[in-house]
Amino acid sequence: MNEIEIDRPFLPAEFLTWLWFRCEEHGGTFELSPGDEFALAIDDGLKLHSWEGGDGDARAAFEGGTTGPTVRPEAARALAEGLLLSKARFVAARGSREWTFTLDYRLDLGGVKVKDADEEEAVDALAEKLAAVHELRLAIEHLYGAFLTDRLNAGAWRLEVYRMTEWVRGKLRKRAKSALEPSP
Amino acid sequence: MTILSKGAMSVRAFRLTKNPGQDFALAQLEAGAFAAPESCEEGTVAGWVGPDHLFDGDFNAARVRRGPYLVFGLRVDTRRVPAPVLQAHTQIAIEEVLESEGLQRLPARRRREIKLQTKRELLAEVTPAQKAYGVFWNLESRRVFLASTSRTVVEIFRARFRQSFDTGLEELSAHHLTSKLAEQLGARAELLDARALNLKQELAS
Repeated sequence: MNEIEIDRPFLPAEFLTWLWFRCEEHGGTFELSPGDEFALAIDDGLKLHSWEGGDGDARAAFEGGTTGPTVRPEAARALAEGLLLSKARFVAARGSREWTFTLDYRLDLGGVKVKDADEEEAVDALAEKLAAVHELRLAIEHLYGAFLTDRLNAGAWRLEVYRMTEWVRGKLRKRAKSALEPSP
Repeated sequence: MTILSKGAMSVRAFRLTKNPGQDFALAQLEAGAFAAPESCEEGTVAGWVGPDHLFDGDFNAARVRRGPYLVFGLRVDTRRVPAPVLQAHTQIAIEEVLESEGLQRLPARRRREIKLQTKRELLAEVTPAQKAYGVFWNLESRRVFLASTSRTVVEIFRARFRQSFDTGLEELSAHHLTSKLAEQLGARAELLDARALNLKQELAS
């Protein structure tokens, strides 16, 4: 490892967890530049696991279901147990393009599928598809940069951690409330 | 239809330290084209293929250039004898020698020789596993994408790419991006101090 490269492998997992929080609490719309919106939502296939400071090598996975895995009580419990999101399937949109893809703690894009409302007008469908994958990758790097800007600023991160903690607290309250409701 | 046209795509991203230019890149693809080895030795052989399929050896600019991208493939052939198959054939060969020579046991050295000979014979019969992984390269932005996230394939790709194109290749892994961004933000000390978020502890405090 050279002087610059410092390994903090939990940061991408924190980033994914932060994306989940931002999607649920702030509507999942990010500005890549003024007026240039990138909409993001978690679709399915959540995988969480513990990192430094967590409980050993705890893991959890949630998939499918009628309500979506992010709102499941077990997902709230996994967060409350200190687990971080290590992989998820996302949907994203920007302009006429839509993507579904998985993103993991290595920031690898997996299973990328692209839909473009303008694709019938494309001269070269392959070039368009490659450009769309390239665009998605740049957008993810931009969001990671935005996350790290807050993450590596002690004051900003303290505030964000407070908000994320309240978000999990809120999820736990919903979980407790739903547990008290009589089953149909 | 190309290697990259079908279905969903998983990608690993890289950035080049310099742009070698299209003409040089095409010439180097040709020079580093996949060539089947004459021998049947165990191991992996890799090389570039054209954009269409495993056996595409045409690197003409009109075929490889798609919009701002050069599109081609990395072919990786792996020839290997599965261990249980080798073990079974070796055992049969040893039993044949014991019977033909009227022996009860063979010395370890002889057994090793039989095993090596059996392996050579089996390797000559085995068809290598042949795969091609799509690559697309934006010359202007110096970005290269490999349609695989397998560690083995990524390592073969990096070695092959460096050898062919005489340029540094930064893997845009989470680790690399984190270090780069921290450097840009002037936050190396904060990165060094960073400890993993634990919402369990936060909820308890």
